Amino acid sequence: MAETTIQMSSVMADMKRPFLKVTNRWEYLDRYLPWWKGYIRYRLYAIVFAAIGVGTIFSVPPLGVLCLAASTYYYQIHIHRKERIESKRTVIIGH
Amino acid sequence: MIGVSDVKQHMQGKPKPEMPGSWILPGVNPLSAEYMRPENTQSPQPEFKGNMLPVYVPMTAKDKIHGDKPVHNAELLTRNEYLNAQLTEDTRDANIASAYKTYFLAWVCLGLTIATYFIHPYVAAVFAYLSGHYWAWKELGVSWGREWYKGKMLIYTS
Repeated sequence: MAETTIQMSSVMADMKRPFLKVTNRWEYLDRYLPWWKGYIRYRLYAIVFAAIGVGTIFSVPPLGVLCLAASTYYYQIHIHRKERIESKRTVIIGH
Repeated sequence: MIGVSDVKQHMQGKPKPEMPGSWILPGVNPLSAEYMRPENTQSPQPEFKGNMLPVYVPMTAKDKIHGDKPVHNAELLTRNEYLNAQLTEDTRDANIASAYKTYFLAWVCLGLTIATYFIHPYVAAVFAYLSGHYWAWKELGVSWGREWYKGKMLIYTS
């Protein structure tokens, strides 16, 4: 017979704001729509700046270098937006 | 504090659900709702009714819906799973992402209708058909992805 270990897992938190909040599904989705749009927009910026940078790095080196820098800049911002959307935070949807 | 009067007011004029269970406000156990005190006189709390949405509470745990699917009154998801279901790129899903996409496609097809009308009206008719097709899917996406979900409850950790 397997032994069972009971372990305390509760956490007492003196939190002023509520731990769980109730809203509707559209309002929650609406909160993250700007992040989703930003993810798409900055991904496009990163691709466009990378293409311009690769195209002009030998013909117009100053412009090419700047565009490649901008490409990595927007690439990191797009990663941040993506991680915000793909969070593992829990939501409970009611039927 | 949710009282019996709130529950009765919510249930008033609504048809009896076909599924076994009851439609009731969140926070009220359906088995003890009728035994609740009408008002909390001991420790009165400010009433906030902005987020009162109906929640389906099954009375038995063994019921099935749509064949073999068990009846649950709530589903536990991650934000990733919930948002991915709403923001897929499939235009046939009738969600908010397809509403954005088909709105754009409808205007593109309308422009092509005007442009190709001077080439041949039959070609313009094809794009006119597509324009109406995409506009209908945009309406469906707004209806299901925005308006329908305004009446559906969601609980999240703050």
